[in-house]
Amino acid sequence: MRIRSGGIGCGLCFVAFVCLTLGLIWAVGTVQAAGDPSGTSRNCQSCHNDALYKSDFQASAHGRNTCASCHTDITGLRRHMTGETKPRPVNCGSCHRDIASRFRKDVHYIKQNFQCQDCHQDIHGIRKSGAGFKVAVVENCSQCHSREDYILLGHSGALLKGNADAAACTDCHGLHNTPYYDSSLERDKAAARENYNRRCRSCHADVKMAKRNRFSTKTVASYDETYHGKILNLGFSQRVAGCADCHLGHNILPKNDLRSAMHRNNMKVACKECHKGFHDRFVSFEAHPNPLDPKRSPLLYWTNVFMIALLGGTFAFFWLHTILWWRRTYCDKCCEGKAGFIEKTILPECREEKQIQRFPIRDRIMHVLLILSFFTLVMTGFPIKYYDSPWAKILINLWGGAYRAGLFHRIAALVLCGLFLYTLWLSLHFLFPKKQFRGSLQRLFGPDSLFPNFKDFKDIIGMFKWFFGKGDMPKFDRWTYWEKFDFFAVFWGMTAIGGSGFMLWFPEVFSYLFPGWMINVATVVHSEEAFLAAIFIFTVHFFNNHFVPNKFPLEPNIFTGRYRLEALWHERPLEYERLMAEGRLDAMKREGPGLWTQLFASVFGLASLMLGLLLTGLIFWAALFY
Amino acid sequence: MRCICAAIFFIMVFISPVGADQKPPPRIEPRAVVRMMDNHENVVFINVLSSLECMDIRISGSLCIACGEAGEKARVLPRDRNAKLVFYGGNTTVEADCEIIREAQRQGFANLYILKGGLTAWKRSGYEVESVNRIPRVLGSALKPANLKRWLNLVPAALIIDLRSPSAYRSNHITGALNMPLFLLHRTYQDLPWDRPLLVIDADGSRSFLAASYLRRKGFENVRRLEGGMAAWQDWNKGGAP
Repeated sequence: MRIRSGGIGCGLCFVAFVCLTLGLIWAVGTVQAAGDPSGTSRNCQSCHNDALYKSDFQASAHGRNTCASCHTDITGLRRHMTGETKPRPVNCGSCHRDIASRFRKDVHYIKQNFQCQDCHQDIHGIRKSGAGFKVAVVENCSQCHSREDYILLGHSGALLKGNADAAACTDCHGLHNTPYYDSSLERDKAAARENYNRRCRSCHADVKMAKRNRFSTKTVASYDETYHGKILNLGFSQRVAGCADCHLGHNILPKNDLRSAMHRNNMKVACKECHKGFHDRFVSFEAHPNPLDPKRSPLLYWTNVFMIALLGGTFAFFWLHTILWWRRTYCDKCCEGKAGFIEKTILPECREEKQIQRFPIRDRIMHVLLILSFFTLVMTGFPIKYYDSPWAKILINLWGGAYRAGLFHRIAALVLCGLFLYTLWLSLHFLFPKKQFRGSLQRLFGPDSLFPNFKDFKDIIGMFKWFFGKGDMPKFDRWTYWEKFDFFAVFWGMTAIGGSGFMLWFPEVFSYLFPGWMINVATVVHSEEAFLAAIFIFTVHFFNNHFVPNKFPLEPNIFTGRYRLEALWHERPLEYERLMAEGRLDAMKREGPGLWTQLFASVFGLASLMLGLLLTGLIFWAALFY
Repeated sequence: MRCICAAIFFIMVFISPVGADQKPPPRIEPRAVVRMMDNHENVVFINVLSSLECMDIRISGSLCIACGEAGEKARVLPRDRNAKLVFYGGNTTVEADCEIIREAQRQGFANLYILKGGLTAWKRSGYEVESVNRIPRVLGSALKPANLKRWLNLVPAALIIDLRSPSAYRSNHITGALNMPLFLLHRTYQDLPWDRPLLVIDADGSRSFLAASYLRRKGFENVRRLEGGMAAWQDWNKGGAP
């Protein structure tokens, strides 16, 4: 009995133990269902039994995760099932840290407090898009953002037809890092401009993509050569037009489409954002000019051809002139060396310390102002011309940025214009002294005039004969032919560079006189003429007046105003003879310049020469390699 | 004469609008506020947007007192009159004529500030925020101002809801629009017709998304918003009839 009863008692205990164990296992398993649904997702799915949480989730990008991988706060099943606790929003950033970090700067988060699930509403069934990623992006973004903007007016025509190269929203705006720009802040507007220009460029300057899609990368290259492009590439994007300023964001329809931002009527709106008070013809300005295309822009093409020919011709003649002059001078020195030292003839009066007045104080001040304004123009203009050279940004920053550099450029231009007008007035005064018209022709072609005459042409021929040892060096009067060229180059230069400069300064005003594409012509003229002027001065003028061996390293008479009588006799024998014959020589004799004048002449003159040579090096470096 | 002087004195002291001579509070950068907090100063943030927006996202620990709710929520202001009150809105800096700011001045708070750039600037600076009762966003397309007239012709039953303040509504509004300020929407949405398409309009398009999401969550199926808000509409409709 005891045994039986004991057996029954043990059996009951055993059954109770088994039930307890199973119950415990069930309870633990159920709790784990919330904590570890991977093994027991069936437990979650017993309530969440839609296909979304079963098959769709298993096939989704997160299918290998567990429910609790994301819903980490569901720990008490009973409280979850009874609704006592509600699951908190999932923190996707615990896995997608990088995206979460970037998203904190995203406009959707900053302005609208978007969270991951707001865009990824099908998060339980989300799949990797693969090749269809771009289309999926468009579909998702356009749920909120007006479809007509992007779908009808933008790149998506090609994208939705299957061209994977076409841009989706995220190609321009970024994914999870769409930047927020406050349109009331200038720095934000500038940052947006730089960003979107970079984005546009990433496709439109891509040669392979251009080839595949039959568009030209010249669009970007030609924009870079405009004032807009150059200033933006220098990093000063505050006040210039970027791609999206004219192409108005999504609107990139062909320009003959009435809805296109590029349509003539609509372009006025875009231009008016920056330019005020222009004539309608202003919009014919080419934002992507191509001076090498005669069909598209014939005048621009021929202007470019003319400027290249002008540069080529001028430099070919004067550089040849310089090289031959140098060769001849050194050849003479070489002969002297072989023959032994030959004492030069010195006039008896040259033994005196007296000097001859060549330039009055007015001319000297004008020349100093000319040098200062010229260097300012070169140092503020050339960084923009060669915006992509390594020194451009350094130089422009020395001025305090592109806008301050522009301000200095304009001030220097006004100084130069003032000097030019004053010179014009002096020239008229020289031709018609006291309003006397009689004798003006003689004065115009006379020896004191800077106007070229027949003798100058004979002197050129004579000089070339001397270069080749076929004759003596021509005898010069007060002005040599290269000095007259320097003087008249300023007249041409001021007309070309000054005229085009004012047109670029006040494009809106000039639109009442010329069509907008004349601004493109003015840009070419201004740029090429600037190169001609700078390089001519820094090479030809420097050599002819300072680096010729008998003057090297500096001819200071433009600063001191006077030079030795011997120099007059050697360099300008006809003037010497004329002054002697007219009995004016003694009246022109002066004491030598004072110490301070000499010091200023040496320091300022040599500094200017060195700066000019440095700039020449920089310009050639940029022109040849960038 | 004495009576006249006394009357003038009475008018000047008691009749003139209280706080009218108060200087607007200075604007303060988010970084400067954080510096004050680091120095353990008693800084109290006051979100002057609607309670829907404030509960959706706010600077941690902020009080939610909309500009238009100054009267009923004035008692919520802290007792410590030396506390530094920092008022902020959404994307833009709060205007100094916000009623709760004037109420705080009236109550004698000495240290009032307006957060420069509002909540947006705070978030852009990377500082923390909290969501107490976030409204999940419901995606839906916006109507462009250029298409508004055509849409109204197509959907004549549509009801336009102007979410701006009553004063902004009075100054200009689209004909037929119903003024339902955003700070009252959570109380008044039930008065809206459930069967009519709704178009919500705010000042600049930055607040209507939340309002549209809220209404959709509450069961209004056909809710749209005007892209760019009243500012975009006025810009597009220059010279046209409202």
